[in-house]
Amino acid sequence: MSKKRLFKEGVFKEGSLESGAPILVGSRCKSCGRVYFPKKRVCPECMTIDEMEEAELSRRGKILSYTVAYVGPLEYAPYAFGFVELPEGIRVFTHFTDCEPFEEKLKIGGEVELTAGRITTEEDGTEVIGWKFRPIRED
Amino acid sequence: MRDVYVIGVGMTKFGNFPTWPGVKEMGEEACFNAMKDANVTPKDIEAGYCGVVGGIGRSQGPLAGNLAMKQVGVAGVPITRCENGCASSSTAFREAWIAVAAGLYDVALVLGVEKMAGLPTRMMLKAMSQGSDMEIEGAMGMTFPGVFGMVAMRHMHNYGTTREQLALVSVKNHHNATMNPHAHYPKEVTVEKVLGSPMIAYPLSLLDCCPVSDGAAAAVIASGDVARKYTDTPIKILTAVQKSGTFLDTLDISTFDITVRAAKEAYRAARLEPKDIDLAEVHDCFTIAEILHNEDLGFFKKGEGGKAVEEGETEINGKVTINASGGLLAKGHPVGATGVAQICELVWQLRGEAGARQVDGAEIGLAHCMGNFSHGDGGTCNITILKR
Repeated sequence: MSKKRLFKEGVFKEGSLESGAPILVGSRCKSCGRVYFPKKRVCPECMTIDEMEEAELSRRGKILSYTVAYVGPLEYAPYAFGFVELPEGIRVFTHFTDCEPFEEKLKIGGEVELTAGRITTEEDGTEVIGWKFRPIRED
Repeated sequence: MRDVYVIGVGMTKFGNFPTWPGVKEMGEEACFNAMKDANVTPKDIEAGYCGVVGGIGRSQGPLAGNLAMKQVGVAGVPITRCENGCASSSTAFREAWIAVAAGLYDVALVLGVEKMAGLPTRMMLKAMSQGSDMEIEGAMGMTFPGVFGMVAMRHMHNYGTTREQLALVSVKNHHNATMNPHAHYPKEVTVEKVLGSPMIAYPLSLLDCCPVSDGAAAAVIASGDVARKYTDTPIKILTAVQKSGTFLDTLDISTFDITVRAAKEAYRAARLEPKDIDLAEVHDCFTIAEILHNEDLGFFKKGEGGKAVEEGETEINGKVTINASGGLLAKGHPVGATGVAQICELVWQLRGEAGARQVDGAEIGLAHCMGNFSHGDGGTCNITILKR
């Protein structure tokens, strides 16, 4: 059984990754209601610190744009990435998965849903896990 | 604020030099050429500014400016390193302009230098990803070709821009580079060759991307009080504007908002309109970048940048000459050197010294440089406008 770690702590709702239906969490300012992702401490609009509550983000969004990298720093290629826009107005940089052939499956404006998976494997065999989005099947 | 002029420029040939020259030697050559061009001696230089990214291959960062300038006898005076990714030496140029305009110095030397060759591509892309949000975008393997792949996909989606139009930017800039003795790739390419080159980040193929280059470029600037003491052909700096990214979740990625904002302020400060610009050196790190920036600089309507290339409007002596030097795509892109190399081209053009690639009657030139990217926005954008 290989070791695993999250590529960035505090981005998933506790327990949601294990449940198989991961949920991303950001911060909501208690004063003005603005939502930020990833979590942060200062609301520049209100100039308050640590006046945030946890905000669960939508699991579905739309593709703003995407590309497929045939050359990159990861140990495998090609891989697809892009930006997803969530209904609450949050833009998330993400890998896309379950999207081959990408010319058919990935569409600007197309609906995608949140999942998670391996981004890379470190030299000692530790799998680095991050969020990903996959196209929602229309059938 | 006092008037400030460029009184001398110089650069090395850009290329791929695995063993020699290094940062010091390239900086030495560029500074020497600029100082000779300006008729200044080391004792005339009151301050130095160096744009270098460093941390890439054998590019020295923190002490690069000091070591290179010492080679030409410039030492002991204030020397400042400026680092803003690919906009590093355009930032250094602006900082020098501010200091001279403010009256702190009369003569300053600006250097841009980078040594990038010899690093495997994967390591290079990893190093460059420090110019993004490393913890998220970098950690997920976002690459700069990938950034501009996303930008291209959205621009094609919104405006019907074609891969052939992208390729024509590469064809034009490679053609211009054949007339530039400093260019890294002075070779003609065809649309077929660009489209047939290996895919790097869909829809961008190898010849849609700038090369990894080594090189240095330098400029000497002086206050209006002393400029004519050194040269009969001073080139006036009308303005040097800088903007940083807003990184808002709402930004449209088929527009560079940072370029739009910088251009608006630059035209206002210089009391000019886009139609007054005879030639521009535009940050064409990828073919799609030139198309977006040409629109965002106001040279063409939004969405018509692809068509403008197709119709020859950006060729030398077209409606507005874009990247007569060959641009980053063909002259090359040693990241820290690019901003000042753009200034070198404008100065040669405005003096009428650009040889076969000379723009007829060039009076006003614009340099546009953008560094770093995150969340759909550039990190830094510098726009400099020069006048004969």
